[in-house]
Amino acid sequence: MIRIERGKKSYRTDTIQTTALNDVSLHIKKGEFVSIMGPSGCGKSTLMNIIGLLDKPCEGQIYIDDQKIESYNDKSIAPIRNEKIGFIFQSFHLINDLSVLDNVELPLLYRKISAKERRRLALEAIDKVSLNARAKHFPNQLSGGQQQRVAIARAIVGKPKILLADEPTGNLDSAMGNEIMAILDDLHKNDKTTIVMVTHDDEKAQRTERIIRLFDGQLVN
Amino acid sequence: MFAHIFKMMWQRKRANSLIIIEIVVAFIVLLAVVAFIRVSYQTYSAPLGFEYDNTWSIAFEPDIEDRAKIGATAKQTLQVLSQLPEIEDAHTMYFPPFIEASSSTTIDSENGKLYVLMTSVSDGAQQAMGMTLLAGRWLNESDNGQTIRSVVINKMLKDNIFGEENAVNQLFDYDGDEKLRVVGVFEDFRQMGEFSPVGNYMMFRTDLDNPKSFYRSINIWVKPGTSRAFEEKLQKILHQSAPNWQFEVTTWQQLRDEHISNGMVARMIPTVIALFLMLMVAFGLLGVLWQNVTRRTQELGLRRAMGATATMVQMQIIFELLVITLMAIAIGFLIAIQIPISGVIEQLTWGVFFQSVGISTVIIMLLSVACAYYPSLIATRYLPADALHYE
Ligand SMILES: Nc1ncnc2c1ncn2[C@@H]1O[C@H](COP(=O)(O)OP(=O)(O)O)[C@@H](O)[C@H]1O
Ligand SMILES: [Mg+2]
Repeated sequence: MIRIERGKKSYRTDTIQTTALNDVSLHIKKGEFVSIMGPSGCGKSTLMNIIGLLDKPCEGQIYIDDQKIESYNDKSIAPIRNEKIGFIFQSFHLINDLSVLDNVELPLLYRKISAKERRRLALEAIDKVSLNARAKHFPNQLSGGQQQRVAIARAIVGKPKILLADEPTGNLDSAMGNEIMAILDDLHKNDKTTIVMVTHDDEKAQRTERIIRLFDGQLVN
Repeated sequence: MFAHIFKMMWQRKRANSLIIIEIVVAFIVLLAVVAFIRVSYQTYSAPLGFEYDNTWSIAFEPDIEDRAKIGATAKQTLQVLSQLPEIEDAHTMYFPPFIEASSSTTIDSENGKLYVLMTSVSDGAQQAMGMTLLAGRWLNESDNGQTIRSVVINKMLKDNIFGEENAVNQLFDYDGDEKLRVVGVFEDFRQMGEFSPVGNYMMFRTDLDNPKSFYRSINIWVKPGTSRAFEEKLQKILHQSAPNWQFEVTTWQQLRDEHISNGMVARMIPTVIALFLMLMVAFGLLGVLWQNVTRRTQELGLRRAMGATATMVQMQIIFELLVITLMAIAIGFLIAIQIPISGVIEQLTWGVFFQSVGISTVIIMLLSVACAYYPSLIATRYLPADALHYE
């Protein structure tokens, strides 16, 4: 489902060059629930952004759903981001000026879908994260856990095959974190979604099928 | 999509109303400047109604002791001048054109009190100046000794007093109990030059044989190609014909050049102030609009992470700003239209107003499209991963 061959990414600031990802090859199968672990700054987010097509590797090849990413041209890559991938960020990234419902609808705005169908799918996704009562609320009226559930609903509203979660519970207390884990478990078991999750929490990582460890931009076995 | 955009705009009504206020101010300032330029240009380019080539003006200071002989001396001087081979024609006038001096009066009409400039010239002066007669005839000897004095009036004065009706041989009230007879209508005579407002004008006849006739300048039409060197000869002849008088010779071209340069200087300060004001407003607007987009870099990155193309995101930003701009222009228009409605500025006709509104609208729209286009282009050049971390 997801394949990286010899992925490499380095950042160059004025004076120093940081290699965030150094020759990483990785294969994640369809329907797998994988966690990525490693110390802070080892390149986890960089890896996730590259898989999620939010960032461009300096070298290497990416395959999403057996499709080779040839060009990072916006026109060719935007539909893949939109249809195949759902992304959950550590810091939620909700739009504060939009209600829960409108936030969840966001990815569907960039598809050819009627407003009615959009609403139906958004309500369905909101139902999955049990926020029905909050659909008309705005993000700043919600707790952190609730906000992350909105972000999950937004990530799954377009029924993507791949769900990428970069420390989805990192900003939450453990009770809220467990709620999020339960939702991801459910998506994995019932919807057969391929999930890649970055976490610092061993216990949560143990609940996934495979743990990938990163150190200094490289995989460790 | 439109519903989505309007929802966002409504939620951001605070920030958006600040932008709207900024644009309203910019629009009104721009409109005022454009209308001012438009009105000034219209005034400047309106026909003068006379020609000024090869015409010289001789202003004179008569000998006060000789008061009784002023008329006779001037008439004789005029005759002497007419004989010179360099001179084709010579006429008297109250004041030459292009100087800030004219006789004026007010006339009661159905259109209220009319402010009217006037002069008195000797017979044939109008033809010498190349003025255009629209109806009737110029003043001539047949107007001599009439109980009702004859005048010729310009088209604006005719329209103001008589409207669409024929004015030739009609009478109108002048100076309380006197009536004047219109014998001719001419296009215009903008005595005070291109910078003066277009206005009402009338001309009396100067009877050179009447010793009480009053005039302060003799104007001569020289043969084309006559150089300024002729002035020396002219002064000599003038001195011979009136030894105790002072004469000052200038060409109408010279008077006009002075009029133009004085007019330009007088307009310099308001122009500089207007430009400065526009610059301030434009930069203010630019800053506000620019910042409005850059502070949304994260949001734009998010939209692209969710599958929007850079083009879609840009279109949204441009559309939003266009809607805001149109609202602001509508508000600015409703404020500005009060001026032509109230009619406080006479030259601001509806035509000029709507033209200025059109020009200002286009400029403001272009400015705001540019202020949506460029920063959003920059914002969408980031990879989504970088845009999401943009502070
Ligand atoms: N945009 C960037 N510019 C410069 N350096 C970056 C950027 N993003 C990440 N890095 C660097 O790359 C390395 C990996 O970062 P990251 O992938 O965010 O680590 P993690 O998510 O594992 O904490 C770090 O050293 C980080 O400082
Ligand atoms: Mg990280």
